[in-house]
Amino acid sequence: MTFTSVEFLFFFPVAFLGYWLLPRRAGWQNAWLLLVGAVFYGSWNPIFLGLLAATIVVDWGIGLGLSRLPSDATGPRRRLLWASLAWNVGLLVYFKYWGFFGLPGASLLVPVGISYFTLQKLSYILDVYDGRMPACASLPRFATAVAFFPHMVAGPITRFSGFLPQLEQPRRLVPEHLAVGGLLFLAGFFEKACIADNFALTLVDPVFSRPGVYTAGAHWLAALGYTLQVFADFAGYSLMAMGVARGFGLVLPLNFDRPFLSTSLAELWRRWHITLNTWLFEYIYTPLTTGTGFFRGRLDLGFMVVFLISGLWHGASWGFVAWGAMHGLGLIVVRRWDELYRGLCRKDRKWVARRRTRAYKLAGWALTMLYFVLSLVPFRAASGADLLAFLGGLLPHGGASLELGAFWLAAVFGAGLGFVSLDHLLGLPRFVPLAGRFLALPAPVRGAVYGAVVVYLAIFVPQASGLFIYARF
Amino acid sequence: MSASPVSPSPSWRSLLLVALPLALVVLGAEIALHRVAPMPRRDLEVDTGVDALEAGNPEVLVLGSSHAGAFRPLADRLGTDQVVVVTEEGGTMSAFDWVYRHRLKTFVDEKRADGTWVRDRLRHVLLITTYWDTCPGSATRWFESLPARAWQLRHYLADVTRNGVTTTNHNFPHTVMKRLFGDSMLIQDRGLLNLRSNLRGANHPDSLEGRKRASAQVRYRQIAEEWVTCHTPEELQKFESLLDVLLERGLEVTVIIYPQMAELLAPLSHMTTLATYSEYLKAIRARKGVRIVDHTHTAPLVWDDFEIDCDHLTPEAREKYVDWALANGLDFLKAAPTASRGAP
Repeated sequence: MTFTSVEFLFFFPVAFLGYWLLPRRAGWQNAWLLLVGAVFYGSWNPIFLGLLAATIVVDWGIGLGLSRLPSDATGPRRRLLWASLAWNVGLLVYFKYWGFFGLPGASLLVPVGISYFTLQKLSYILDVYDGRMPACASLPRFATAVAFFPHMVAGPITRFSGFLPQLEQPRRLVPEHLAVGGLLFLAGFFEKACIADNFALTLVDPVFSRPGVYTAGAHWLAALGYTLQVFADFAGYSLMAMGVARGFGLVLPLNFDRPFLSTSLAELWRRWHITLNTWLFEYIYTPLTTGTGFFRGRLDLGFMVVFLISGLWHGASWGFVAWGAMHGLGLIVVRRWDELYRGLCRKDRKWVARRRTRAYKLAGWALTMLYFVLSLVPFRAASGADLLAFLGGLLPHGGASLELGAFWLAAVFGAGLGFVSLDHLLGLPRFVPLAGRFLALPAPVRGAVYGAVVVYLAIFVPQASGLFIYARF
Repeated sequence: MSASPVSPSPSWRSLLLVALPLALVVLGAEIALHRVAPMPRRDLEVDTGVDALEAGNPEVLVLGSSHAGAFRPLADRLGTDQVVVVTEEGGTMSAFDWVYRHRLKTFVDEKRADGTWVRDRLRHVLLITTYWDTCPGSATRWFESLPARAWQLRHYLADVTRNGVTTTNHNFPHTVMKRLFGDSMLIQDRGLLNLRSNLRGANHPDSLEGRKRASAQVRYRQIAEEWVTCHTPEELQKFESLLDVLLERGLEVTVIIYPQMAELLAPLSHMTTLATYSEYLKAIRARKGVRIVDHTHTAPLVWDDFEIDCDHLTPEAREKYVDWALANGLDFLKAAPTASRGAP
């Protein structure tokens, strides 16, 4: 079951009404969330419910064990930490990478969401180990946090230090939750079902499935289309997850912050899949480069390690590894360039002013976007041969043209691109007041606009809205 | 998008003031769409037929895919209480077998306390089939919807508990949803394909006529070439098993081969797909003693009698076809209604 599936239309009202009709006590509300979370997770593949339960109990137990040991009991605490790391990483490796490494006995099925809930639980254990948060004494509450269905399948990767306290208090139904939740869900639904699925069907899949056959223009359009598809798919999912969570009076972290405004790769990774990158930099990059080991001070190597892990986290394929390596390398170049530029600034202050010019920012933006778009080609290509054929297809050559049709271009591509552009523009200082002006319109006018969006969605959402790309990771 | 994209602290009243115009705009769009385009053909569902069987005591039970819908006028000719039509959209032999065993058999076999049949007038079963019904699901691309369209909630829940949500059981809530919003153009005509076609000139490829011509081309090739490999042993086995269970109940079974649009039938298809199916049914007649009525290319139906899909009949054509069929192979149905029969 996904947020855009018809099953969810039946599931959500039951989950929502049941939740708010229960006595307003945290325990009741958490128990209900746990129950509907199990139903939601079981809808993917019920055989993995047992595994999910086991991972929850083990990590809750380890967290509790860590909290009960005195802080100077370094040995036992470290053993518990390693036990949790081995358990979580071991499961991840077994289910996702066993086959990739050619090891026998690989699982044919991957538990949905394992990449997400494993990172969530690991951050919890690491935070408890480092004393950044207390262990959760209540197993039901911990289980609710892990199995909270909006974030369980594809994030946002929620830090329990911020989420568990929300579950300790009884939630109250306030209009703001419904208003914010409804709007976030509507925006996310638009991005996923209308932009991502339509772009995939008409622009991306035809060219990627037959690389080299279409014209160079079609290849560039498909590469750009895929970039927008991935964004709309995952940002849309994240918005829907946040919206659904709000419906239960809970707040999930922001996962995308208008990434196409980025003028450097470093900025892009602060705006794109924020919760994963925060996780990777806090729990891998920082300890690695500031610790006492080999990686201390080797920042470039740290970037490469982090992004190779990020690539592998997305899936066991060389395409993801290549994508990760490209971004590791990209960040190294950006860092080196920054160092070089700072040196120039120290020598001549004119360089400081140049950096603030529109031309410099525009060049930075164009290079960042071009690099990002190209990096997604190995991310999407089905095989090494397809990747080479697609890259070859980007060079000028003859080929079949992509028949899109004027109606489709106007109604779908135009509206999709327009929505993403508008959303990003509203992040620019000069356009911020526009959003305020819209929200200041009389409520009936806003309602009519939302109604028009609902009608548009009913018409233009493809019949079979697809699986979320990031639910596969 | 920011995490809090609404004005701070909205009230319940302001929420209502947003929700009401939202609903009005959607309703207005529905009304406007109804005015400019007809509703698309509605799928006929198994439940309609099952409910009619449960409530009645018919003499004739018609079972088949959506093609069986062509026999609805039979009720007008023989009497509304005489005929029950059960259609499973996209159904193949295995689906008909499933529907009979899981949805119909209970009522067909139901007995009174004294051991007599509750539906004691039931005598004839008409199975409406084509070669297509013997295709493997993967060839017809309908397999994912079956038999979920014929399920009841208990079947759905049992399947979801076992397998999670799958592309097969997904069709149950999808069907429920379509039924709940049966009068909504926004739900029934997604993409407004019907509306757009309706507004196009007849020569445009997206017009109703243009789509019909394109559909005919595809089906012409499919019948002659692509579906020659149908005739799946699993589907045939289900068909024969269904015949057995009907015959065991003492019912007279008539297998009707549904008519095809003449324009779709290439000489090659007579030698391939259609010939294979026809030969098979002849063998079945000899083996099981069931009646076979072949209307593949004998029914007096023309291009305009078929819907845009070149497969289903228009409402007017159904009347025409049933009248013709009652004089050509189904004349035995015009005999006087049978008296109540006791248990075997």
